[in-house]
Order: sequence, then structure tokens, then C-alpha cells
Amino acid sequence: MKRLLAAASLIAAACGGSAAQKPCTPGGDGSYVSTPFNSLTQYCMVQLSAGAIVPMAGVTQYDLNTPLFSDYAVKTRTVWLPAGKTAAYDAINTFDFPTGTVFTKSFGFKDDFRKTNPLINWVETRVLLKSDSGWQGYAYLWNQAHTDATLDFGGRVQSISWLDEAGATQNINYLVPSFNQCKQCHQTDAVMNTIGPKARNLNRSFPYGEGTDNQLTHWAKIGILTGAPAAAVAPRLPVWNDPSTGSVNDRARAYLETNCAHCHNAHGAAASTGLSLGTAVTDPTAFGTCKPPVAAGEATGGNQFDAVPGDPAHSIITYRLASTKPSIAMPQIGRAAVDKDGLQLVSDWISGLPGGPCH
Amino acid sequence: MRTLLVAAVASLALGSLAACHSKASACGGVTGACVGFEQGASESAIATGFAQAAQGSTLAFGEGTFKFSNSVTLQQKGVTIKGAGIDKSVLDFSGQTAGSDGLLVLDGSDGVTFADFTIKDTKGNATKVTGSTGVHWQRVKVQWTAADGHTHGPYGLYPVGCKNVLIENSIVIGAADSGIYVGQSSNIIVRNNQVSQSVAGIEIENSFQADVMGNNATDNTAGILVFDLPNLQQQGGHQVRVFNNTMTGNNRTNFAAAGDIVAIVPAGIGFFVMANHDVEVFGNTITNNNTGATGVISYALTGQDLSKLPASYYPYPTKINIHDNVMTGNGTAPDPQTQLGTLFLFNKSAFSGGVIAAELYDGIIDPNVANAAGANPMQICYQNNGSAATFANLHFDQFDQSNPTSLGVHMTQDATAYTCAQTALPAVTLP
Repeated sequence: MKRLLAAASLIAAACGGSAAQKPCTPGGDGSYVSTPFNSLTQYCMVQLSAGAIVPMAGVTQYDLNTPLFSDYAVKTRTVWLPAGKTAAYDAINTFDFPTGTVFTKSFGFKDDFRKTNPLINWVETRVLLKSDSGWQGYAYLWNQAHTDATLDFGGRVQSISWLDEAGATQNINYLVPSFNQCKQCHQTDAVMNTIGPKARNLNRSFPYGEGTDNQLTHWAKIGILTGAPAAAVAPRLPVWNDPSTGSVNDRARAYLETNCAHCHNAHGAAASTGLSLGTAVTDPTAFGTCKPPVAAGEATGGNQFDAVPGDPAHSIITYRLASTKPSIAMPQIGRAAVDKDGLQLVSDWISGLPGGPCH
Repeated sequence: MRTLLVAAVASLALGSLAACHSKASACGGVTGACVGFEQGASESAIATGFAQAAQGSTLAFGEGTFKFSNSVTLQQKGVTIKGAGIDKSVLDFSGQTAGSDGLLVLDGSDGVTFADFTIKDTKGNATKVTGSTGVHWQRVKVQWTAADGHTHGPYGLYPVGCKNVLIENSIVIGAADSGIYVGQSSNIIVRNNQVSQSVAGIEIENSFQADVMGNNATDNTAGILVFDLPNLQQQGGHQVRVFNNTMTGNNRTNFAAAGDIVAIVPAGIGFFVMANHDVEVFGNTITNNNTGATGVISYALTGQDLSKLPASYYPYPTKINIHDNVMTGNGTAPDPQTQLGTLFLFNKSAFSGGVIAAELYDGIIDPNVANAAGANPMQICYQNNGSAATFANLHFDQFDQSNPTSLGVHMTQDATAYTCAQTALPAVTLP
């Protein structure tokens, strides 16, 4: 017990005491965070201000071109690197971030989708930190008063509701993932990694306080990214719901990549299915065209193939995206609501997919 | 920071020590680190225990029922998940709303063991392990209890992409696909298990070196299947021995969802092998399966377009050795609810004695085999399966789909060329 108290006081010291007197800085004395804090505020990464999650000093907020769908949650993403450390640019894979890097992703739900300025019910903030032994993911549950969020190893199902565009109440069983469920999506060949921060998904503008700038350019400018080419020549993932950024095919493949390919790749949790949904996959069978399922059970919905060109109504991919039943729904965790627009995009993609008929 | 870690570990250890000292504790009798969950433990506490499981430790459930709303996930080496015994510790997923599988063990969890508990009514698979070496189930019972079998999860005990797999003395009831399913794995022993009320009792798929022995597969759609499917990371299933099993009365109406490979299997099948090589089936008791005792088939029988198969996949069965089995009382009433069963029904009178042959071979030959025109180019052998074990080469290569009775016209029932022996396959040994 004495030790625990000592540890707690150490943490308080690391975080610099009162934020009013001294800016709370991630990593405090410049060293990095190697084990999870019990409370989110100890990271000095984000704070709630006027109902919004905002980054603290030295922390960079970012967005993605095509983000993972998370039950219509509002998401705020931030990253912090230890002083003097940089991430190495990679055109294809996630950047090589230095030990001590901390990411946060905060998940909140609007109370009413008809409001211009809805209240956001912040549910959890996930922390992904790179310790000496690699990346680790932790979920922090916000308290009722929204004053702090507390580490929750076990995860839990939370009932969440909101009023949709039509004013109808929507209820979902939102999943705060357990420590191990973080790995289900973030593991590649049994090693945890980041998913979102790839050049193609970061290559977009962001409204920083000092003005709008391209994120890759900005990261290079503030000294957390090295080796990045000019944004104009860096790869760019289409924005899934912005037709000006790509064809239906390109946007659907972007959507499938961010929503499915973290498991559905040759080294992920769904490697054994043979279905591989990254944007770089060129073999039509591998991305589902006329591909029979392997271990789907009732999730086939009586259909014979993952994607039947021209026939989304008889394709397993759309069947699974349209379901919220745990035995059927894809992605397998983290989606309790149907993404209607995403489903429509994937349906349109299958409608125009070449390679049929399957028999 | 190190201090905090030490403090956390110390408090955990204290907690589990305390649990170990009470009389009927979950950790009682466990040597080494153990975290116990007594009846009434919250789902959050259990999931936290799984999240913080130390390498080589035991996660122990006491007697009682434990209810879950979310999958329980593990990623750690050397962990044993145990209970107080089958039907004593019950992991109940009937209220599951998140995640699909019940217990999900992720890549790199080498040396995981499941023992002595019941797990029921998971929405997806009951227990699944991916990409791990040294996976062991013993005395685990999986059961789905809902009246509508379509709502049951696909697999009960499910290793995929694993090495050194041992599944023994376990029970699976009601799987909507296969009770025990070993996929894309190698070095496997499945022994002394009981599977019933499932579509397939046991399925070994896209796997290498498997011994399936002493199991009882009764009252399923089909008893034991050895399959190989295309477009997967591991293809070319081979070296599988199926011996001393009982496959009897597997006549349950196929309730797999269409699209699943097992949905093509007629009710009333003892044993099927598809597109594997080096498979030895011996010493089994295969009785009272109403469509047929055994089938040796190519992937062509799935109805899929062979021209679209990847070059890496071999769709034909070769070197199949089915000998010294008891095959009686099979093939008397083929399943009218599947295509293949219906075809047998249409042609029933063409079979010797009006009973579907116990040794069914689809007769589709790889055109690239050097002696494709020979008497038995794919080396399919049958021997000593008893006087009731009639043979039929179904000659699907000559079958006219528009004329179902053409099967009876083209099939041949002279077993001479197929009465042969092969070298016994080696036994599987686990390290």
C-alpha cells in the first residue's frame, strides 16, 4: 500500500501539479509513458472544454480521410511524441513511431442529430502508447460528470441512445473494448500496431489554430515526422463519402480498407478467411468477387459468395454490413449500429463490380 | 513508473492468494499463478483477469454460472482457462450482445489450454484459437440450447492456423456447422470426443498431419469430414488418419446456412473426404447413416466452377485408403433435402441391392495425371470393410446434370480396381 501511494505521488509529480501554474505536458519531465495511468488526465493529452475534447499543449489533433465507422460516434484523435523524437514516413505502411508515442481517440455521441450544436456524451477515450515492449491499447471510461476518465481493462457493453435525423430514438449496445479486444484489430502477426495513421489516410487538411494546413506538411513542420514528400505527391485515400475524391470503386475500397482490412489481411485476425480487403489487393477473388465463405455459419444469410458482381442483395459482405446481430455483423467488434451510407456505398460498388456471374 | 507496476502486480497477487486460501476456491489445486473467478464475479472482473493474465498463469472459474454480454478475449502465452468441471462451471453467453465468439484466443497465444468447463449459447463460435502453437482442449463441453438450430454458432472447438493441437474428452452439442473444426492447422490429435446434434461432427479442413481417433459422432448430419477448400492461406490437406471412431445414426436434417460448405452434405453420411491426399480411414464403426457410409469426392461436387480455382489448389482426392471398418445399415434412405441426397434417391434402384453403396467415389479424375485412363489413377483404395460395404464409382465425370438418372446409367459397381492396400500413414506425435 505504501508503494502504491508512492507511485501515485510520483504520477502527480510527473504531470506537473496544477495545470494553471505549469502546463501539463505529456511525459512530464520529457521521459515517456511506459505503463498505463489509472486516469486519463495523467497523460496530459486531452481535456474537455465546453463539451469538446481538445488537445493539450504539445499534442497534435488529426483527422483521417476515411475513418473507421464507430456507431455514429464523434471521434477526436490526437498524437504526441516525446520531445526531440520523430516518426519515420512510410508511403504504404503505418509510420514508424518512436517509443513513448501516445495516441488518443475519444468517442462521444451526439444527443440529437438534428441539432447544429448537439451535446456530446463522451463515453471513452482509447489510448495507444508505444512502450518498451511495443504498442499497448487501453480504454478509459469517462465519468458521468465528464471530469475524468478511468482505465478499464475489461471493457464493457454500454447502452447508448440518441435522437436521429428524424427525431426517432436510437438505442445501441455500444462496446468499450477490453484490453485484449484492442489487439483483435490492432495485431498483425501477433504484434500490436497502429492502424489509422498511414500517409494515405493522413494526407488531408486540418483546421489548426494557426490556420488550415495539410496534416503531413504540418507534422513535418512541427518536427514529429521526417522523410515525408510534398503532400501533393504523397498517396491519398479517397474520402469515402465525398464523390469529388474518387470513384465509387475507389471510395468503397477505401471504406473496406479502414473498416475491414485491419483483420482482413494476410497477417490479421481474419487471415484464415482468405478475404483480404486492403486497397492494394488486386486479386478479385481475394477481395471477395465470387469467393465462397469459409467459416461464416449463419452469417452467409443463405448466400453463396462474399461479393456477387451486380447483385449486392445476394452478397455476404453487404448482408453482414446490414446486420447488427453479433453472429452476423461485420466488423465483428465495435459496430452495433448499421452504417447506412457505408452500406449503400459498398452495395453500389458490388453493383458495378466486374467478374460475374459467379457460376 | 516501475513502482506502480510492482504495486499493481503485488495487489493482484494478494487478491489471488487470498482466493486460493479459501476452501472451495476456483484456484484450489492449481500450482503456479492463478486468478480465480468465484460465482458472482462480474463480467468486468473476469475480462480484466483475462486482460491482465500473466504468462503461464491459470484463469480459474469456480462452480456456478457466469453470464457474459461480450466475447472474452485472451492474448498471452501458456495460459490455462479452467473450471471446476463440465456442467459445474458454466459460461453462459445467451445474453451476448457484443463480439461473436465466446472465448477468443488471439495469434501468438502459444500453449493455451481449455479444461473442465461448459460453455453455452455463444452467438458465434464457442471457443476459437487463431495462429498459436500448442493448443489443448480437455474435458470441455459446448452446447447450444435454442430450439432453432439456425441460431446456433458455427463451431464448438475451433483452432485455425495453429500447430500442435490436442482436442480430447470433450463434448459438443448443436453446432450449426462443425462441432469440432480444425482449420488450416498442422500436427493435430482429436481423440475421445463426443459430438451430436451438429451439422458435421468433426471436420478437419485444409490441415496437415491429423489423427482423429476414438471419437463418437452420433446424430449429426454427417459424422466426420476431411475437406480441403480453395483460396485459403493453407491448402493441400493431407496425412490424415481417421480411426477407431464411431459414426452412427448421423441422419439429422442439414441445418447449415446455404453457402457454408457443409450445407452441401446430405443428411445420413458417416464419413466424407474431399480434395485431400494421403488419408487413411480404418477401424471405425460406421453404421445406420441413411444416405451412405463413406464418400470420396473432389471439389467439383460443391458445384463451384473449377475453371476459377487458383493454380495453387488441387481439387481432387488422391491416395485415400479406407480399410478394416465396420459398415452396416447405411444407405437405406438417402436425404431428399440436399441435391446430392436427392440424386442418390433418384438412382437408388440402380445400386446393388437397392441400397446406396457404402463406398462412394465420385470418379472425377485429374486430367493431368499421367495414367488418367488407368484403372485407379487417383489411388482410391478400399479393403475389408465387411460384406455390406458395397462400392460405387459414381462417374460424375459422365454425369448429365439435365438428366438425374444418368448417374445410375454411368456409375460402375465393380470394386476390383479399387480393392487395394496402401502403406499405413505414420502416427501424429505432439511435442
